[in-house]
Amino acid sequence: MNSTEKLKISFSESQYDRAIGWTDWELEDVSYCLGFGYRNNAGSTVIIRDVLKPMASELSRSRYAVEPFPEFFCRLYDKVQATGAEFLLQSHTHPFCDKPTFSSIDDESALRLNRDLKKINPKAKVVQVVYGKDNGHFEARVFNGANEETDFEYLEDIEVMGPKRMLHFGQHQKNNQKETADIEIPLSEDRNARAFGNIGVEVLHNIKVLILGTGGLGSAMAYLLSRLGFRMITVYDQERIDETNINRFYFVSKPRAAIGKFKAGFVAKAMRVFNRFGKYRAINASIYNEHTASEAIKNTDLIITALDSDGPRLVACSLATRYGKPLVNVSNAIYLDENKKIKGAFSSCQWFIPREEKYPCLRCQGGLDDKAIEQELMSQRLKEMRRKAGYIVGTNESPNAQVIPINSTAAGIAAWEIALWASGIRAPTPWIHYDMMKNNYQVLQGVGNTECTICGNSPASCLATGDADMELDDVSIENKE
Amino acid sequence: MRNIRRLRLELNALQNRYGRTNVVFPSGYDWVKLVEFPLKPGQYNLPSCTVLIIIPERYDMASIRECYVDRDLRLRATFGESQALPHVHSGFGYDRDGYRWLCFEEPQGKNTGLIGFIDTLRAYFTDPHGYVKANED
Repeated sequence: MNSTEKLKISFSESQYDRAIGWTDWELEDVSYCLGFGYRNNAGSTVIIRDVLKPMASELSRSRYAVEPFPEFFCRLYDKVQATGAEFLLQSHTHPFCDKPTFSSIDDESALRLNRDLKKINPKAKVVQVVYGKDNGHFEARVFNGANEETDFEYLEDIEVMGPKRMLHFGQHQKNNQKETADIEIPLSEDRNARAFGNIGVEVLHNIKVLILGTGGLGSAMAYLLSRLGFRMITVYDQERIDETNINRFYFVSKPRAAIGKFKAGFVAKAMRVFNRFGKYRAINASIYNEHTASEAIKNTDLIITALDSDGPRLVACSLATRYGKPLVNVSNAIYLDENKKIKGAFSSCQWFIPREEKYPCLRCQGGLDDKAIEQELMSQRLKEMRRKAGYIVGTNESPNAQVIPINSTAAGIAAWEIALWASGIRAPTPWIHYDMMKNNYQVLQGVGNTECTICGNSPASCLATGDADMELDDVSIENKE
Repeated sequence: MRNIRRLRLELNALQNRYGRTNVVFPSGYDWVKLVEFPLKPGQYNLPSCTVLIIIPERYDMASIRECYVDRDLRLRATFGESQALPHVHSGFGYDRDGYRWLCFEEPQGKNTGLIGFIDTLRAYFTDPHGYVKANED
């Protein structure tokens, strides 16, 4: 982090509630969080992985001071060591004032924490937040000083990602809220504003959405979201439009002219034509290009996967978990019987909100095909070896049945859920599964596995680890040892 | 993008089990080499072997499926000539480095990581033909 960057802290909703859920406002209180960091176009973010709160027996409290006992710090530093955390965040209250500022006691506390933390991880940093009465205002800073000198850099923003939508708190959030009357809504979005409210529509304008996969389903999502008023959409796909796509591809008015164009570029351009206010971008790349994919994910607020196979879905899920970004998996399928007649048709919309127990990852929810993932993520070299040795016979690359009404249904369900979430009307349904043959609409709830190496909070999981452990050295087998 | 956090924990556990010098890996975690991997006494022509395991690029989303053993490793026959191990192939991968490809994987649907893979490998080495027969599709 350098002094010109914008700094932000990112919590999940349940973490935030826990970290600032003070027992009472008569006495000062404190909580600690462990986190990692990442950088994106907007600056640096401290992403929270764990929240630790001292129990009543582990601290002394008064109206003007709070101090955990050494046994709590032992527990805290054990956790720092086990997780390899890069940031230690201390949040505390000043219940005696509305607009809090750090005191000299807080400076001393930062120095002490910094000194102890450096013994465990020399690169780790201390972050402090102080909340005023009723959490109405806060001040936040990162400690950049050396051992005995205080040098703080102040943070501007706290982000909360959760089922009740995405919230951003500035330092004086209560005064910063706009009045409904102040928001100008274009006439073309008048009916949306009547549904979601002016504030709701303004939120839709500003949420950054990334659509991974811009085929029949992804183009339908882009079409619906751009018309709902989402103005910050990035579409991501490496493929070009071919003749078999044309009858399912939204935005196509002149089929011959569309063939051969990049899917993402074509969709972004069409959205720009529709909405001149929008900032619609295209990335023509594969999700397996993980550098490009992770940069795109870091710079987004919501990821939509509209992909046609489970390997890339799992990769997207893993990147979402690193950066704490909510992910909506939109999918559909048609199953044929032995006589090639339709026996099943399904549309599905699943939410994964990292660090939120009710919204586990796609692997925990059980909607992914492990066998297909194995094949898709296997290296080309190993596939060739297995083919040559006779372990793989023939190909399994025959395309599946796809028809536009199924795409439209899945996209419609997902766009509705996303709009409700973004405008703060209600929390999203974790998993909607619509059986289009039986007209049966089911609401499902997956159960997260605490040991899951994607979304669980085990030491092996990459949950909320940001850019940590991403660098890989290029060592080949020839120069081993 | 490998899950390096998981790999680090697993490699640490392996070093505790087989000894620090017997578990070799590069800083990029592209592969793991187990030196002096113990074999069932009397069953093979060697008392121990070297096992080279290639860590997939997207470990742990992708499970481990590529592994190599010493070129000279053979099953000792009671009478007559020693036998090659089942599912061991020459002419692939790191032949020139002295390895043979062992086309081996955990039973379908399992992805128990590096430790689980090595445990299954131990089961294979205990009775290679028996293991293959028991896990045939």
